Amino acid sequence: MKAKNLWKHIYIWILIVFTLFPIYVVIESSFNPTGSLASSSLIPKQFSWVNYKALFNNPAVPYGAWIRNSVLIASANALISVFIGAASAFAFSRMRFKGRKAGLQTLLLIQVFPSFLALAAIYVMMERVYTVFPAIGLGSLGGLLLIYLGGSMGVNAWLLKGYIDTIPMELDEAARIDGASTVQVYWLIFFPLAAPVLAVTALLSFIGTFNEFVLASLFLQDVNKRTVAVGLQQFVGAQFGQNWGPFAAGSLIATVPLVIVFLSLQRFIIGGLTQGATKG
Amino acid sequence: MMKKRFGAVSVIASAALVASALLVPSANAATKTIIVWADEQRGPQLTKLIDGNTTIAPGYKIQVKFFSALTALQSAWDKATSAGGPDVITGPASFASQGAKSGKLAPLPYGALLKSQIPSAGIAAMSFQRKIYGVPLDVDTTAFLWNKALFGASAPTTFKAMVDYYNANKASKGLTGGICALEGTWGSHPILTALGGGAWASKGSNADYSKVLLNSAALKANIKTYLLDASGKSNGFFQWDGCGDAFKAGKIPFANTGAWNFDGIKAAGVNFGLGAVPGLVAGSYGQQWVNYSGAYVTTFASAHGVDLGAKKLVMGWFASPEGQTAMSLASGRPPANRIAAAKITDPNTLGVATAALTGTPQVSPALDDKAGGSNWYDVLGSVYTDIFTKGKDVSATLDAAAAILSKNFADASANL
Amino acid sequence: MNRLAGFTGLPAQIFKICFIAIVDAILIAMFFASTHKHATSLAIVIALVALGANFVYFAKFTLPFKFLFPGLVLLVVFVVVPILYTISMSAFNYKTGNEISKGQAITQLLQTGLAPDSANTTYDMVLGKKDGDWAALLTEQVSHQVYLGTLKGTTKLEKGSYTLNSLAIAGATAGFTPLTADQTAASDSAIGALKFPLGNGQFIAPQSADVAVLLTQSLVYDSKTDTLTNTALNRTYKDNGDGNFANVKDKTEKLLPGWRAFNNFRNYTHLFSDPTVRGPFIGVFVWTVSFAFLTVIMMFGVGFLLAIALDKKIAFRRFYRSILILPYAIPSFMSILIWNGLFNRQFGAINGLFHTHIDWFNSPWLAKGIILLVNLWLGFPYFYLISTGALQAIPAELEEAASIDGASPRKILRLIKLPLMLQILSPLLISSFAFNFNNFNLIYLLTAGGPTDVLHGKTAGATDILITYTYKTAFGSSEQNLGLACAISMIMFFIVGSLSLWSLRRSKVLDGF
Repeated sequence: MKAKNLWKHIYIWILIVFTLFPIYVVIESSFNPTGSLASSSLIPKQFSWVNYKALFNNPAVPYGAWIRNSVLIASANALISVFIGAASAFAFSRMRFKGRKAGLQTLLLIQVFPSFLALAAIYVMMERVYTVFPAIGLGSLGGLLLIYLGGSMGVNAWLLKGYIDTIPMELDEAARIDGASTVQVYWLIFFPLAAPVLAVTALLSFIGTFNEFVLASLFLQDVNKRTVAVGLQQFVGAQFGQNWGPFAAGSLIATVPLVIVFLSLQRFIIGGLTQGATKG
Repeated sequence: MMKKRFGAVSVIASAALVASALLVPSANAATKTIIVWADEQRGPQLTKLIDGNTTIAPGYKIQVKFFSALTALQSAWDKATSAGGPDVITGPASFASQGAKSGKLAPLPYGALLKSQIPSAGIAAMSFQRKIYGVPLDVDTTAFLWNKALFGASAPTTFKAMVDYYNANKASKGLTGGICALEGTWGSHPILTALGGGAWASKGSNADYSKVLLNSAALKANIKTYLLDASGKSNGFFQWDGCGDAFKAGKIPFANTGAWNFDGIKAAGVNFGLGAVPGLVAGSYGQQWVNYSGAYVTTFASAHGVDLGAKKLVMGWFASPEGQTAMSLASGRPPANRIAAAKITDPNTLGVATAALTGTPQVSPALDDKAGGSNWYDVLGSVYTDIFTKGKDVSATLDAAAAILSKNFADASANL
Repeated sequence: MNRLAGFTGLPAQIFKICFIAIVDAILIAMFFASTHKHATSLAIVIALVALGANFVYFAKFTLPFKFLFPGLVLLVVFVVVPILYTISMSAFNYKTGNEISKGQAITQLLQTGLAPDSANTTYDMVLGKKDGDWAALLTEQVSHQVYLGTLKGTTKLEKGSYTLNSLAIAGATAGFTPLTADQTAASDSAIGALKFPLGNGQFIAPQSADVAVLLTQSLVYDSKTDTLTNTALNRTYKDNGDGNFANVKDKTEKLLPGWRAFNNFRNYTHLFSDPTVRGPFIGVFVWTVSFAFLTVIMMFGVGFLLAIALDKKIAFRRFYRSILILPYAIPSFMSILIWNGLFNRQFGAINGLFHTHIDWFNSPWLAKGIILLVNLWLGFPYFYLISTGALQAIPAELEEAASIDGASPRKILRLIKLPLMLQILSPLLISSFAFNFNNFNLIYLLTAGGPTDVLHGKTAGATDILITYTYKTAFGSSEQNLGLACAISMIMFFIVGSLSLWSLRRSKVLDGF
C-alpha cells in the first residue's frame, strides 16, 4: 500500500462502516429474541428465529400476503411499463413528428409535478370506477397498477430515449433497405439490442414500485391487500420498541432478494447510469 | 386496399359486438346493500355479528368493510364521495362534528324511547350545532391499573403513595417509571387532573370553556412536587411515550389504559387491579376522558337509495340494547346504551365502566380545534417534552400552552 | 425481407386484427357495463379510448402514435386529468366545511332545518298504500294513539277501526294495503321524501322503514332570491360569495355545511398576505431550498471523493464497490424507517451504543442534521456511480498533458477534473435538486416534519419541507384545506418545473439530430 493512497483507504473504510452500521443492526436485531432495539453492545448474545416466525403467524400482520402483493404489483408494473416506455422512447428517438419536442418537455414537466396532491382527484375517480368495475377500482391491486402505469411513460421514456439515441441509425436503415417496416425494425432490431437496458429499467421500476407508499396507503385499504411498504410502515409506525424485531426480520426478507439481483446486474446498472451521466 | 381495410374493420366490429354481448352483466335487480365502514378493531367484530345479515333491516343486505387502521379509515372517509362512500360509518365522536361540517352526515331523529336509553353525555358527543348526527356505541375511556405483584393487592389511595413507592423501589426493583399513560397524551388526562390540572374548568355540571386549567397554580406546584426532582428535572415517575412494554415487563407499577389493551397485559403475565387514578387526598380521583364511539348514517345512503335501511340499521341495531350487548361482548368496551350496560358481567368491562363514572366528557370539537395554531393533543405533547425531557421551566411552558388553548376553546365553544 | 424472417405478412395481419378485436370487445363490454350503471363520464372515457385505439391502429398516417398510444392513454387518464383537477382546485375555496356542491349543501341545510317537537314524538310505522297512493299507519310510541297518514293529511283512528299486528302496533285498517319489506326497500328514496301533513306546518316523516317522527321545517329555501330563511328565529341567510350562506345582518354567522366556491385565487393571495399562512410558508420554503441544496452538495462531495478514491489502482475495488452501493439497492422506505429506529430516544441503537439519552428528533438542529445524514447514506452511492462514469468520460489525454506540464495530481483534480465533472453532471445535479425539493418519503418517514414548536405558535415543523407541509395542509388532520394545498403545490411546480426546463434547454438534449 502506497503511503499516498492511505487517505483513500481510510476514507473508504469510514464509508464502509457508515454504510454497514444500520444494515448490521438490522440483521442483529432480526435474530435477537428480545426484539428490542436497545442493544447496548454490538456483539449478538442470543440467536433465534422467533422474529421471523412472528411474521408468519400473526393474522393482524399478514406479511406473506404483503410480500405477494408487492411482488405481484411491482413485477407487473415493471414488465408493462417497460413495454410502454420502450415503445414511447422508440417513437421519440426514431421518428420525427409534430409535437415531439413539446411532448418530451411536457413529459418532463408532468414528472416534476408534486402529483400526490392529485390523490384526492385520483381517489374520486377510482371510486367511480369501483362502482362499475370492482377489479380495477379503488382498493384493488389492479387499479393501483393502472395508476402506476399512468406515470410509467414519463419515467421510462426519458430513461430509455437516452439509450436508444446511442444505437446507430445505420442498423435501422439497413433493415429498411431490406424492406422491413418500422414495426418490424422495432421488434426485430431494436428490442433484442436494448434487452439489457430494458432489464435494468425494469429492475429500477420494480424497486420504485416496491418503495411507493403514499398512493398505496390511501388506495389499498384492506389489511390483506397492503404492500410491504405500507404494511411495515404502519406496523412499526407507532411502536418501535415493541415491533422492532419482526420489522427487522420483515425488512431483511424483502430486501435480500432485491440486493442479490441488484448486485448481479451491477455492471448493467452502472453502465446505464454512466450512459445517462456522460450523455448529459 | 381500401376494401381490404373495410373488411378488416367489419370483422373486428362484429367479433367485438358478439364478444361484448357475452360480457355485459345481466340486468337482474340486486338486493339493496347497506355498506358499513369500520376500523381494524371494530371491523372484524362487526363482520362476525352483522355481515351478510338481511333481517335487521328487512329488504336490505348488510355488508361490512373494514380498514387496516383508524387512520386509513379516516383518510378514506375524508375523500369519499357518494360514488363509493359508505352508507353507515362507525368511528370516534370527532366524526360527528367533521361530518356535519362537511355535509357528509345526515342528522338523526331520536325517538323518545331511544333518548331515554342513551346517556345525555353520549348524545352530546354525537351533536353539532344542536343536531344529533349519530348514535353512541360504546364508551371510549381508560382505567387505572396497578401491578399487584409490585404494589400489593389494594390500590394506592393517594398520588403521593404512588410517588413514594416509586422512589423507594426505583433502585431495588429496577423501575424505569412510576406511571405509564399507554395512550399517550389522550390517556394522560387523569394524571393531569389528579394533580389539579385539566383542559377547561367546569361550572356546575357544564363545561366553562373560558377558563383553561392547564396553567392552574395547583398543577404548576404539584408537577414540581411530584414529577420533578430537586434540580427541576423529571424524576422519571411520569411516562407517556412508548412505556407500555416496561409496564408489561413489570418495570412500571402503575398505568392508565383502555380495555383493548387488557388482554395483552394479561398475556404478558401482569396481575393487575382496576380503578381510577388516585388524587392528592384519599377519596379523590383523576378524571379520564370519557368519549363515545358512534355509528353514523351518511348522506351517501340516500344517494344510494338505502337511507331508510341505513337508519333502521343504526337506530334499530347499533343503538339498541341487543346490538350493543353483542358488540360489547366482542370488544370488551362498555356499551353506551343504559339497558345494555346493565347487562354487562365481564369484570374488566365493568371495571372500565365504573372508572368512566369519574371521567369527564371529551368534547372533541374543543380538543381538536386549532384556532390557536395547534390542537390540545399536540400542545400537551409539546408541554410534556419541554418539561420532562428538556427540563424547561414549568410555569412558562404551561402559560404558553394555555394561551393557545384559550383561543381554541373560545373558537370551538362558539360552534357547540 | 428474408433476413427478417419473422412474424410478418398475413399471419401478422390476422394476429393484429384478432388482438384489436379482443381489445375492442373488452372496451365495448366495459362501455355497456358503464352505461348500464349510469356512469356517464366513465362511459365517455371508455368510448373515447376505444375510438382512439381503432383510429390510431387503422389509419395510415399515425405511425408514431401507434407506439405512443397505450402510454399516452394511461398518462392522460391517470396523471394529466388529476393534475388538471388539482390546478383548478387551487382557485376554489375547498376545505373542511366546503367540500360539496351548492345543491348538495342546500339539501343538507334543509335537512338540518328539520326540527322535532319538544316531546320528540315518534311513531311506529307500517307503510302501505291507500287508494293507490302512499299511506302509513302510525302508532305513537308513548300514548299508543294510532293515526292514518296520507299525503293529504293525517287522521286519528279510533280503537276498533284498526287491528294490531304481532308487534302490538296498528297493522291493518280498511282500504290499507301494507308494503312488504322488499317493496319498502325498493322505494327507499321515495319513502324518505314522504311527508304526512298535520297542519300548522307540522308533518310526520318516515325516518326508517318502520319509524316516523313529528317534524317542522324551520329553514326554508327560496330559489328565486337564493336565500334561506329560518322561520323560527326570523333570520335570512344569503350566499356570501365564499361558499356559505351567511346571516344578512351578522355576516359572521354562517350556516354549515358550505360548498366549494370559486374564490378568485384567494388561496394564492392568502399565501402572501395572511400572516398566519405566510409565516410558516416562508420558513418552510427557506428550509426546503437549503435542504435540497445542502443535501445534493453533500452527496455529490462524498460520492465524488469516493469515485476518486476508488479508482482503478486500488485493491479490492470490486468488493468495496459492492458494499458501498448497498444503500442504493435497499428500498429506501425501509432504510429510512430503520434509521428512524436507530435514532429512537428510548430504544435506538445509537443512544444504546453511546449510553446517551439524546432526544434526537426533538431538537430542530439535530433533526435537520439527521435528515442530511440519512439522505447522505441513501444518496452517496448514486453520486459515486455517476461520478465514476463522468470521470471515465474525461479524456485521458487532458490529464497526461497537464502532468507533462508539471501539474500535481491535486491540481489536476481541482483545476481540470472538477470543473469538467460539474459541467458534465450539472443536469443530474439539478434533477437531484428537484427530486430532493420534493423528497416526501424521507421527511415524512423520518421526522414527519417535526419537531414542531407548537407552544410558540408554530404550525409547521422544523424539518417540514414544502411537500410535507402541503400534505399536512391538505390531508393532515381534522381541518383540511385542499384549496390552499393545491395553491402551494402549484408554486412548487412552478419552481421545480422551470428549473428542470431550464436545465433541459441548457443541456441541449432536445436538439440532438
